[in-house]
Amino acid sequence: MNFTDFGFWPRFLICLALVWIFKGTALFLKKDLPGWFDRVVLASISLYLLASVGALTFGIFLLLASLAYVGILLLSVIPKDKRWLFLSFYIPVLLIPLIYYKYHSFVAEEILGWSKDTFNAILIPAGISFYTFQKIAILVDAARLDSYRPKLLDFANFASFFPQVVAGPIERKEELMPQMERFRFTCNWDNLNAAAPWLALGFFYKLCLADNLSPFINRDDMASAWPILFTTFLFGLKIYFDFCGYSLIALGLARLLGVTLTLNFRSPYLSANIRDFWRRWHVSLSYWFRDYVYIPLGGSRTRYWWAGLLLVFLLSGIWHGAGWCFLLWGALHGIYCVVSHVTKDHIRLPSPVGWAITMVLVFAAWLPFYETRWPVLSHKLAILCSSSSYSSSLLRQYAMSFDSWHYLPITLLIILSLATFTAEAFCSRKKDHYGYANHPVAIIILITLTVWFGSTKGNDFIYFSF
Amino acid sequence: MLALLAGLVVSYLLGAIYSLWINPEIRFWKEAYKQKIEWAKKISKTGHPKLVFIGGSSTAFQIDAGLLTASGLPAVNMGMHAGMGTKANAAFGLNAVRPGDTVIWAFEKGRMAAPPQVTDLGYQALLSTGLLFQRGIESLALEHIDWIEAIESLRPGLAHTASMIAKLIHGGYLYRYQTNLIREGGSITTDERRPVSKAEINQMSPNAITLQWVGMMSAALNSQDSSSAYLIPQEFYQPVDKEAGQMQNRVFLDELSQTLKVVNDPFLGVQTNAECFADTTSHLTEAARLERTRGLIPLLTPFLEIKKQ
Repeated sequence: MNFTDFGFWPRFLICLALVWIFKGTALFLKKDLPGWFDRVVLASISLYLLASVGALTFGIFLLLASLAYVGILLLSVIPKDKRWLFLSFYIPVLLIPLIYYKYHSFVAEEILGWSKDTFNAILIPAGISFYTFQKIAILVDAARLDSYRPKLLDFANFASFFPQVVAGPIERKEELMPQMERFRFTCNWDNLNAAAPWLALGFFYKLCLADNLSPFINRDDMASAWPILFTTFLFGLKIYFDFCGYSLIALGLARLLGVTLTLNFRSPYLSANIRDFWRRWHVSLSYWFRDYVYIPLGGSRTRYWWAGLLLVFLLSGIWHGAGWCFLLWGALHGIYCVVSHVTKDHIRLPSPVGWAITMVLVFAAWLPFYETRWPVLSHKLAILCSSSSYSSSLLRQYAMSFDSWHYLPITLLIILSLATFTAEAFCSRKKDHYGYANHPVAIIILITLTVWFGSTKGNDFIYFSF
Repeated sequence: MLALLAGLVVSYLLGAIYSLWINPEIRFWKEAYKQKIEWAKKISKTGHPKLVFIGGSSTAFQIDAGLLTASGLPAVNMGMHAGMGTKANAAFGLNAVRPGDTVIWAFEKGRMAAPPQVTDLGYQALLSTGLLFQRGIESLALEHIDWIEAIESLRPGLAHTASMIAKLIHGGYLYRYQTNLIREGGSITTDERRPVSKAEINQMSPNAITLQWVGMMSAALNSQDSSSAYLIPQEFYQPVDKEAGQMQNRVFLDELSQTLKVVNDPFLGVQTNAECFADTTSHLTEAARLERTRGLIPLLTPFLEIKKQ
């Protein structure tokens, strides 16, 4: 479900209005509604909105959620010492749809060398990577507890809670489940006021910044190193504003309903080192890999911690997409992190220098992330490695290729992005990420910029394809 | 939340006010449209059928309706900004048509090869003139209009704002064309001169949906005793590309002639003299416009004579 799509909001608001009317009528007639009413309605709304995404997404989601719930019930009756054996069979079963839909063609064509015509293009269910990982997490958490049997209704709400189901944050049991268990529809100013800054900022990031940057990302200009560098820079901005924007809207939607979700981004482009970056970028996925892959592999206490770290980032790369380029992106970040860990006690850099190096490394790694055509990527890397590609005449030639319709909006977008980062930096110092959006004046400015400049060209969120 | 809702409503209203009444681009084209319609009404009052040229800005810069009228061919140039989209251009033009008139479709080749559309600028212009709500023959051009898109369009937009900021900093005019350069009959001219680049040689075919759309409007015109034909606008080609350009345009016009009558312009849309162009590859200078219009008189005369018979 795309929160910036016009189709989403009427559906959501009509559902909400019906709930208020029903609850208001019950209150007026002094009739008590049963305790489960709100939770049944929430599950119904979530499932309805998920079904509106598409039959395949809905079907695969139901299958995985059912398997996960059955798995939890089975775990509660299996002795503790046998649970890990059970999970070693059951988790691969949960992964089958993800592997089939997302990786089959990569494995068949790139690894097994089969012809490209072996499979017809298969549509990937939206958000499959997100909800598969969430289900694995709750199964592992359940195996660690003595006996965990959530009520079906609470589990349904936990698994399907619509603001987070399609593109995260990958919420954990301990955070979301208690909120689902005591969920009530309450219409009050506190919820509305808590939601407003996140919605205003999320829409501004997505519609005004990310979507307006899209037309300027020209992946096919390889005349010199300059267009490749500039496109990579713009893509780095776009992916942040796109995914962070989505996550902030999700947060705002959840707050409207009185639910708090994980802040998935914490001003990552202000990170002073690469470890810090991964504590700020797609936080719920980073922590998922830490808790369910890295630590079970021994974490930082084993001699081969670096191998565990590399594996985590390779898995993170392949989680994002089936392709060698995504693996390269993961490998680069794995190497960055290993080097950062090894050198952290020996090299102390001033913060601005550390920040600059981190940003160069992060933005350089975006190249294989957006350029997923391997031969084209090789060609671009060859251009970037050639000193003749950086001549000032080529830079002039590239600058001249922009007409006023290009350089004026792009300049305005870069100014807006820098202003945003400055505001983020101001708030980050007080650990109040994105706190600048809390002020009513800031909300008005953000909404005004979104209404006046926001693109309506229907760009999907990048992370929908993951 | 109050700040969010208030911001949403107020910023939308301010954006809409700007888009409908303050935007210099809209103000210019609104004024141009007003003058064109006044001219059309003036001619209609004489009781003679007239030629109505419908197209984008290349039409506005290439056809001198004042000269045609003075030469015995009553005409109005309804060419508007191509950036409004073909549907908007057609709606503006059709509003000037009265029974018995002849419509000369003069959309650029590239726009005939693409599906018909209305852009944000088109919606703004249609709403600011009230044309979007009219139910005459012009509404035929606007069938299947997306009202959500129309509502969404009432915002200044990033590219427009960036260019306005640059113009304000740079000084000078806020829109490149001025209303004092709108000529009698509806043609437009400019004193600005920019080097023109050559047109690309690539074969295009008329878009099937556009053909169907133009065909539907032409049928409706026929039913009210009006007729229509297509005239290809001139575009700048390098002298070496003249033959290739004319060849591809001939093929294009042959395909088009299966649906529409075509004005047999011997230039076939190719002009190789760069001096004839003002600020784009399809905007003729005033002198070149008069020259081209004189050349068109014998070609267009039969269309009105047929009507008179």
